Amino acid sequence: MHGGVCCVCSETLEEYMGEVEKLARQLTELLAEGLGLPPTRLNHYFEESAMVSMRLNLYPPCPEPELAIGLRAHTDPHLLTILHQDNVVGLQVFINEQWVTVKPRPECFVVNVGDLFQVHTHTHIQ
Amino acid sequence: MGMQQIPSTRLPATSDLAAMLAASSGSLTNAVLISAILQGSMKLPEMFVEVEDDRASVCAQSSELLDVPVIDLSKLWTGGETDRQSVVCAMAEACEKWGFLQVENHGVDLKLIARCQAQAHRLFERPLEAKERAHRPPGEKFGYGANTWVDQTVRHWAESFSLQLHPYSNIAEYASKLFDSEQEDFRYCMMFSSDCKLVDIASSFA
Repeated sequence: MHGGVCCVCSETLEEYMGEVEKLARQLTELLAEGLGLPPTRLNHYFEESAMVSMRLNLYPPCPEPELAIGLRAHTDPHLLTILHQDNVVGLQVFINEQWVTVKPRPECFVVNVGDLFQVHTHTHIQ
Repeated sequence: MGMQQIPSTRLPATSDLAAMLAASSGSLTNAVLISAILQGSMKLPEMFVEVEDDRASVCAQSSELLDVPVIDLSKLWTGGETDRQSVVCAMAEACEKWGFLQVENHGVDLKLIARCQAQAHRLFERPLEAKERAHRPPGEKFGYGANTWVDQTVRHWAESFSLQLHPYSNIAEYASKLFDSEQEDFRYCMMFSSDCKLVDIASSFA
């Protein structure tokens, strides 16, 4: 019985990652093109040896939320991160010298362009 | 389901919590710490208190939410070259203006996303014992636990599972660590009120 539960879990996560990876490949080509690179320039990041990872984050209620943080301010070191949020606010971005909360949209993906992408495009993205 | 008690061997009396946290903070997973703190109605221990500059600015009022323009990808699947070009331009513009973008009609089945979310919740609802079996040791990339980042001592108020799909998948391995035990008691599953949960799923490439 537990084997079944376990398989459903891992198969679902792998199926999700497979679909998100397809999307990531398409977005990478579109972004490369939009930022002035040959569209296929970054495709080697999706070869077999490339690293594709996922992180599931849970942010429980906090007794003193004004003192703590769920995930410290950071930029992503990767090429691309595709984030799905549920419908609770939490994600903040630094724009015009201040932190602003992004309206959650569960039907959307937030696509974060990582440091690796910026190295290639020589652009400064916030 | 509301909160439930975890086994007494895992959760000492409230009066002992502070001492326990101070004594063994380095080795305890966030699941143990966070559930102990919430169930003991404790103040936030030092290990979770951010230095002032790094704290989140609290602006959860709906009027203050930033509604980032959403790029509709459906044109990519159905439209012609002009439509594709408009998506390319919108993406580059969003990237330069905001540093990130939001996409809708992205081709990933919303039901699949919902199923993945449900599985994520199930993983987080596993008992502490199961999470400890999947624990990510310091310095390792994968497993369960959101402890400190390199060179930082303050912990994130969060729990995380980090898993890899390529170059090889370790997802089934961790799922079996979390689910493979018939002795576990499912009554211990829900540690937190279900109202305030926020689960996000970040998929990273390269």
